[in-house]
Parts: sequence; C-alpha cells; structure tokens
Amino acid sequence: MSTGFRSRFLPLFALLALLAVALAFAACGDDDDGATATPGDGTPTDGATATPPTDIGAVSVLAQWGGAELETFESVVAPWQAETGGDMKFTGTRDIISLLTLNVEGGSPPDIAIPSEIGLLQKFARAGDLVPLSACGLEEEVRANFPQAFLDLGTVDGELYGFFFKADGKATIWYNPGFFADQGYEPLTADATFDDLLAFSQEIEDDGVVAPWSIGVESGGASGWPGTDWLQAILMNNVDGGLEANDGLIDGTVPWTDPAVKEAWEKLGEIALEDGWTSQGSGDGIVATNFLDAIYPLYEDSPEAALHHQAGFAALEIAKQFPDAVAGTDFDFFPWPGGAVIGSADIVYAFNDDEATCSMMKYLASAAAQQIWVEAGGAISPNTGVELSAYPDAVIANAAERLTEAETFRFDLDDSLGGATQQAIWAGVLDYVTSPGDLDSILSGIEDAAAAQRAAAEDTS
Amino acid sequence: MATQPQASGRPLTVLVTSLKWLGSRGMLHLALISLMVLWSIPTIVMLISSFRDPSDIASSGWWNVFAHPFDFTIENYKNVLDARGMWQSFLNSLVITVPSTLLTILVAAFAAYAFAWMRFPFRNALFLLVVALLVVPLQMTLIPVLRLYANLTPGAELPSFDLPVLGGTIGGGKLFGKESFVGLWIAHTAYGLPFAVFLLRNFFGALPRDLFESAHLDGASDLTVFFRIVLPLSGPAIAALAIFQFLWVWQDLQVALVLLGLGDPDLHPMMLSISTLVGQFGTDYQLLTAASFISMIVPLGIFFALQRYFVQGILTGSVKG
Amino acid sequence: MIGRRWWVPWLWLAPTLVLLGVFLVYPSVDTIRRSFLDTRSDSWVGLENYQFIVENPRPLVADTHTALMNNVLWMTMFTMFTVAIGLLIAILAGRVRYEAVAKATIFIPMAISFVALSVIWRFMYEFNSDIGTVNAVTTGVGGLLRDAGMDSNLSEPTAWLQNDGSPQTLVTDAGPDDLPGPFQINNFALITVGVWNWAGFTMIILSAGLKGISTEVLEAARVDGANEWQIFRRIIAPILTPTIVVVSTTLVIQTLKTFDLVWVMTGGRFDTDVVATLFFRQAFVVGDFGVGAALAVVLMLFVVPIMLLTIRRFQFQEEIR
Repeated sequence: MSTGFRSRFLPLFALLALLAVALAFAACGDDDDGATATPGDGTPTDGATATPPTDIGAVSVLAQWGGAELETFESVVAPWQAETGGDMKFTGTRDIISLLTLNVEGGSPPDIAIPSEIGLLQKFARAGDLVPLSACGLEEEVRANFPQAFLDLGTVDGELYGFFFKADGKATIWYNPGFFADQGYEPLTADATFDDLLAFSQEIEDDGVVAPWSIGVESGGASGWPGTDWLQAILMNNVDGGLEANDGLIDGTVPWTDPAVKEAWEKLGEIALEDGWTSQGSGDGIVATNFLDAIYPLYEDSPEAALHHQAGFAALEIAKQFPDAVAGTDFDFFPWPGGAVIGSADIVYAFNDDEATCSMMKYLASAAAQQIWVEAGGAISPNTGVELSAYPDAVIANAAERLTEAETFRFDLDDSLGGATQQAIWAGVLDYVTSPGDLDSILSGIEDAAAAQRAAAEDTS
Repeated sequence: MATQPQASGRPLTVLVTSLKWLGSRGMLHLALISLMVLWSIPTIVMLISSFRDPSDIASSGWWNVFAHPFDFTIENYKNVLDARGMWQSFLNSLVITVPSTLLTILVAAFAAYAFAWMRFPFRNALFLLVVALLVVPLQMTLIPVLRLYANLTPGAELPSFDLPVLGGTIGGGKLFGKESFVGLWIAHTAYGLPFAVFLLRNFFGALPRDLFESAHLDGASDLTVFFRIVLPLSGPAIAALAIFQFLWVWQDLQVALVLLGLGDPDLHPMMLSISTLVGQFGTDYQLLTAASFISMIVPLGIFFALQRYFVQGILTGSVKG
Repeated sequence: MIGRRWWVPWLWLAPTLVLLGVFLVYPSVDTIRRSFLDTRSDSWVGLENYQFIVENPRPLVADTHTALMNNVLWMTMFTMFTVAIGLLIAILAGRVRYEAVAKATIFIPMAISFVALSVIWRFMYEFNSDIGTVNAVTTGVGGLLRDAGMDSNLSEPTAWLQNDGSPQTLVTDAGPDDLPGPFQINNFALITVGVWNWAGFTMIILSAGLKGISTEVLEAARVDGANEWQIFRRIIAPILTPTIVVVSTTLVIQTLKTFDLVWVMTGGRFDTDVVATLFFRQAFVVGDFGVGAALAVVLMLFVVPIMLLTIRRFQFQEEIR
C-alpha cells in the first residue's frame, strides 16, 4: 500500500472540498432553511404568515412541472394555503405517466394528479381508482364554468372525473411580423385553404430568402408528437369529412387506414417532404431537430425560415430565447387555414375525497386560481370565468379567446387516445417522414395498435 | 522498462538506447495522454456550457467561446445554488447515501466471507442466485416494494437536527416505510447487494489459504479472522465497492422518487431537486450542466480520498520517465 | 476446516438473504406471475404474452425483435470496449507519475449523473454542425477530404442518434443502406456514450485487482529482461483473470438493464430500443403489465447462459484453492 505525502493529505483535501461546497451554498444566498412551499405546517419560517386558524392537512400533488412553471404553480396555491392552512407536497417529473402508473399499481397514488393526457384518466376511472368530481361537491360548479368540449373529455362512462387547468391552443402558425413586413408577406386568415398555404409556401421558396418552414419533431422518447399536431390540423380543416374522421378515430369507429386519414398524412408530406421547403433540409433533418430548436430559426437576427406550426407555448419559448422580443411586433401567429381549433390541457383529477384534497380541487377549479397562472403568463385558462383582460399580452389573449370561443374545437388527438395508440402514432410520424413510401404499412400498424388498445379497454370495463 | 543506459560506453549506443527508451516511454505517454484528452472532451464541453448563457448554447457551438472569451456567466451556477431547498437536498443526499454505502459494505462483506471461506450446503447455487439477481429490473421491484412500504405503519416522526451555522436540517421523515430515510437505506442496500457480494467474494476468495489455516490453528474464531485478517487485507476491494455504491446511491433518482416522492419535498435528495429545476419540456437544461458539476464534487472527493487503493503509486514498477 | 456449528454460515448470510428475498426475489416471482396474466394483471392468459414477443405483431408500438437484437449488440460491443479500455488505462496509468489524474479523468464520467450525461451527449451529437461537436468534426474532415479530391458523405452532417442506417453510409453511398440486425449508426453512437460512462468502472475495479500483484515479482521479471507484453501475459493476466470475469459479468448483466441511457437519449425510438426500455414502455407508458412482465422475464432469462459461463469459471477457481 503506497503511503507518502499525497495519500496522507488527500482525505483532508476531500474534507476541504466538502466544506467548500457548503460555503458555496451559503455564499450564494440560500437564505431559507430548506423549507419549500410549506408555510402551513406549524413551524414558523422567516417572513411567513402566522399559523392560520385551521390546519386542513396535507395534499400530495403530482404534475409535470418544474423550474419556472413550478414557481408559478406554487404562487397559484399560496392563497389556498394561507386560507386553509393546508400543506401542498408537490412532486414534479416529466415521466409522469410512468410514475403515476407505478404508484397506482403499488397502491400508493398521490392525492391529486395533473397530467396532460387523457388515456390514464379513463383507465384509472374504470378501475375505480379515482373519485368523481361529485364526491367533492364540485360537479355543478365545473359544469357551469367550463366549455362543453372540455367537460366531455373529463367524463368517463357518464361520470365527470376531471377538470382542466392549464390549456393551450394548437393549429397556430407562428411567424415573424417584422420579417413579413420586410418581405411584403401577409399572414393568412382563418378562411384560407390548404392550397393557399401551399401557394404561400411556394412563393416564399421562390423568393429564395429563407426556407418556407421550420419543422422539428425530435423529443427524446416522445419524438414524433409535433407531427400529430400537423395531422390533426390538416384532418380537421383541410380534408373532406375530416372532422368526422377525427372523432371516429377517437371513439374507434374510423380506422387509421381510412382514405380521409391517409389524405391528411399525404398532405403533411406535401409540405414537410417537399424539396427545399424546410430549413432542416430533409426528413432526416426534421427527425433530428428538437421541437424547441425548430422554433428559433424564425427569429434569429437573420431568419432562416418563415413559418412554424406549433402550439401556444411557443410564445413562452420565444420570449425566453430572445428576451428582447415583443409579443405582437416580433412574433405572432395566424390560425391554421380552416379555423378549426385544437386544444390541449392539463387535466386535474383526484384519487380520494379527503377534506384537504377536495378543498384543493375546489380551489384549483375556480377562476381565481386559474387567473393567477394566466396573469403570470404562458397559460390559457379554459375556465370561462377568467377575463380576457387578465392575459398579459394581445397575442395570448387572442389565443385564449380562440380557444374558449371556437366554433369547431377538438382536444389533441394523440393525447385523447393515449397508451399504445399514441406510441404507434408517434413512431408512425418518424417512419413516414424518413420513408414516405411506407405509408400504407404505417397506417395499418397504427390501426393494429389502436384495435388492440380498444380490445384491452373493453376487457377491463 | 529497461534500466537506465549506462553512461559509460560509446555515445552511439547511448543515443540509440536512449531513443529506444524515449520511444517506448514516449509512446506510453502519447497513448495515455491522447486517450485522456479524448475522454475529457465531453466533460470540457459540459464545463464550458455551464458558463454560457442559455440562448448562446442553443445557437452556437461551444468552441465559439474562444472567439468571445468574456461572454461567460456564472448565472447558471447561481441559479442552482440559489434554488430553494437545494442545500437541504444536498444534506438529504448525504444522509441517504452515507449510511446506505456503509450498510451495503457491511452486509455484503459478511455474506462474501461466508461464501468464500465457509462450507455449507447449496453454497455455489446460492451464490449464483445472488449474482443472477443483478439482472432484475429496478422498476418491476418498485411496485411490490412500494406496496410493502405503503402498508407499513409509519411509526413515529423521526426527530430532525438543525445544523448550526450552515443551516438546514439533518434527519426527519418517518421511522420506516414510505417517506423514511431508513426505508431508503434498506432499499438501497438490498439493490446494491448482488454486485457487492459478487465483488467482495471474488477478492476474499483470492486471499491465501494458509492465512486462514494458521489463524484457525491458533484458535481464532470466524469473527476475529474476519475483522483482523480479511477486512484489513481487502482495502482495494472495499474501496472500489465504496466508491461505486456511494456513486449509485448519490445519483439515484428512481428509488427516491418512488419511495420518497409524493411526500415531503424537504426530504428530497439532490438529484430529485435538480430534476425539478428543469421545465416541463426539458428547457433550462443549462442548469443541468451547472448542477451536475456541483453534485459531482462529493463523489469526486470520495474518489480522491480513496484513490490510494487503486493508484499504484511511485513505488510500484521501475524507473518512471 | 474448523469445527463450525452448522448454523454459523447461515447467520452470516442472513441479512443478505432476507434483504434480497424481500427486495429482489419476491418481486421477481411477482413479475413471473404477471407475465402469465393480462394487461392489468387480472386474468390468466397463459403464454399469450410470450407469443407476443416471439411474433412481434405490433412493431410500431413495441418492436420486440429489434430490441432483442440490440440487446445482443450491447452485450457484446459495450462489454468488450468498456473492459478493454478500462484495462488499458489501469495498466498504462500505473506506469506514470500522473496516475491519479489519469484515472480521475476516466472516472469523472461515472460521477456525472446520467441526466446531465444525456444533455451533454445530445449536444455532442446535435445535427446542426454549428452546435454539435461530433458533426462539426466530421463535416470538417469531410470538407478537407473534399478539397483533397475525395468526396464522401462525411461533408454532410449526420443525425447520430436518429440515423439507423448501416455504418458505412457515413462515408460512402456504396453498399447497403440498412444492414439487417442491429448494426446501426445510432446504436453505435449510444454504445459510445455507454463506454465513455462505464470505462471508469472497469478501470477502478481492475486497478484494485492490480494492486494485489506483488511488486517484487514484477521487478524481478523486468530485471530478467521480460518485455511488457510478456509481463502482461504471464504474470498480470492470470492473476487478474478472475477480476476481469467479475467485471465482464457485471457489465454484461448491466447492459441487460441498460435503460436510463437509451431512454433519455432516444427513448428507444429510431430502432434503438433495448429490452429494458421496451419493457418499461410497455408496462408503464402503455399500461400493459402482461407483456411488460414477460419482457422482464425474458431479460432475466438472458442471464442464464452468462451464469453458466460464470459457473465454469468458479469451479475452476475452486480447484485452484
């Protein structure tokens, strides 16, 4: 065993390193004593309110949020905590589907879960793991304040189980108004047609300054999901009988091999796979480009693309990446030709009807709670009680209005289906973009998965 | 390596021998250093990225740093260190990791000694079973374990001790079951056992038989042999095991998320808190690079503290170049 | 052997056996049970889940054949390279004065949490050659080659993580675009990340093993004029072989569980699925615990041939003792 100067002093160095870490933390001003969002547990923290009169207990919440979103959510919950003395124990993870499944299987679900896809709702509701909103006395209020389309989504077998918290609108095409003005382009309106969109793209390409589109579908294990937004937008707006097909895909009456569905995929190809129409260059480039990175080329100092199809959260990302950008002047959206609106939202449901749980559920459903997030920016509330004036800028107010007052509105297609079908659709998008010739086998593959999922669902209900 | 060329004798011989010596020593250094450089590239990339602005990271490669040497920021590090509860999470990680590591080593050492030096029926079969358990996927074990933990009555709330000066609390949580550090210690120990037993048994078994024979002749009991002979001679193996068990528990996310999560965020280990720094879409990943370097300090410290067990040192081998 | 009461070994083994029983054995049995039940583990379906794996009826959701073949690729290539590089560094670094630094360099990737690891390698593999290091290098080289008159595919950026074509398409268009089996660019890209991460593991354990080789023996051999290769073959290798076996076995079994790396970098998409990611997706994302459990069982069965090989090795070692 070697002895000597170095080895004798190294344990000391290690200890010093540990001390250095401690000092680093201390120096950087972590000036609380470790408490997170729990002022109501009786122990006084610096600057917190005095112990409130009632202490309703703790509620465990599982959602996907982290970072800035988490902070916003905590500010949403803060009034509830102050009023009831309740304690929110929050866990955020991006793998919420798997964590939720694991916890439910393990007999230890959270009190409240806020995921963004519907499939699990149906599974848990049918298995009896959830309590319906009526158990908390919430049903009447939710029915009064949310649009019918959202209510339908939260209903399983006639019972209302969930309400929606933070919504987002899709079928929006983002552009750079400054760039458009320079080039003399006009954004399309809702009553444009798909051919108008194609012609516009062709015009941009002919002008040769930028590629017409920027498209990216990479997203780790969820790669392919932006493509499904395209498909649904096209299906609902630009294909004859597409709206019925969309509904049929969800309730299982229309197969994925249906001609209307196939037409939607082919139209996607007309834009995404057209030579020179995307700044990514090719199908391979599209699948290799992260969906967030695909937003930015429109807004660089010298733009590389003109159009980008993405949901409303793109505004947040643009503002983050380009802090000097001004909503409306530097970035804005126009609706997908056809005007039908697609939405997605985080759905809230509860696994028990304890007093604390119900209290929080009631609070989260209220317009007051939802308005807090709206005012913080980056969210649209489906609660009709929230005033449009609460939105921080015209762009997002426009999006909100579109969402709550759309004539034709549907929920996000792959989120509605969930499970194996959702996985198959995502994989199908990736396959199609890289090998468009395989479309028929891709569609029948998706249909196989969908059929199997439906069969399995029937077995358990 | 050949010994130093004799300084006597013809200069040509000296030159040739020196060149040969330099050649093969040179090759050694060349090979080693190029491998080290190649290996460090991703780490360096990460280091540089942790000092860059998020909008820079997404728009230009890290080598642009050399063109704009002053375009760096410590904002990322500040954000991580400032993050609410990060110091507490750091302490929690220590509270979770250190006992788990010690417990694993202890339990595994006892078993390894038995497998290596005691005779009993089914010895080989049992040992193979233990090693085979390496393959069991973690997530499948978490469901029954979670159910078990959820059903255990939690018992008392354990006391927590406020750290003076540095702030934060050590301890807390429940006595056992979900939301308890004890529960985590036991779970991590169990998951670490297959590898630990495998490794230690290999090293224990390599010890010379006569050591044991003479000890037993002198009337030493198993315990004495274990503590006086086996453990002291197994420094390298135990050190290696300590590093890895520490590392794996320190970096663990899954077990903590399932067995602790959904409960008190004040109990979260550092990995869990770091993962909540990242937004829903995986944005703010520049925080991850900074956070990773911060959380790397402790395992690296352990490595350097224990490195004498796997560093040959100057005394081994012949003349160094 | 000393006179031991029959129950003594079992006492030493007890903590290990109990912990393993609860945390690993019982869940394994539960998993096997679930593999014969339906998706929500309610009713008996016999061998249907295994049939699913064999027939691979829904490759868009769960491509079992691809996953199995990728696993074999990982088990062979990943293990080989990780052990080779770890061994190389363990031996080479022992001959230089900066040994601790060299070993620390190789160890650092293990200390980085896999979440940060994936962030950094996603940047390395970024398609946009303005940002992605690897593409910057390859397109740079491709540019140079082109200027020298040799046109190749290298001058175009490669989608390292998404491209499932055969490796030679990197350079030339000749030859098949897609090789049958798992020989895909993205698989190799992922394996590279795995090797980068785990080489430190093999290096440390092998270093610990090298410490056990007495220095006098090495000195004497060198004085007698043996060159390095002979020393390695005749002295080091035989003593180190059991440790190499331990490390390789652990690694091979580890690759069976390789989940985190693939899951975070590609999620198993683009034909990079391995059995562990497939099992996870089936069980926890799609919600099909029947097929998920069956996949986990298949994973556990993979370990049987490995165990058979290890048995031989241990019987051999027993005979020596």
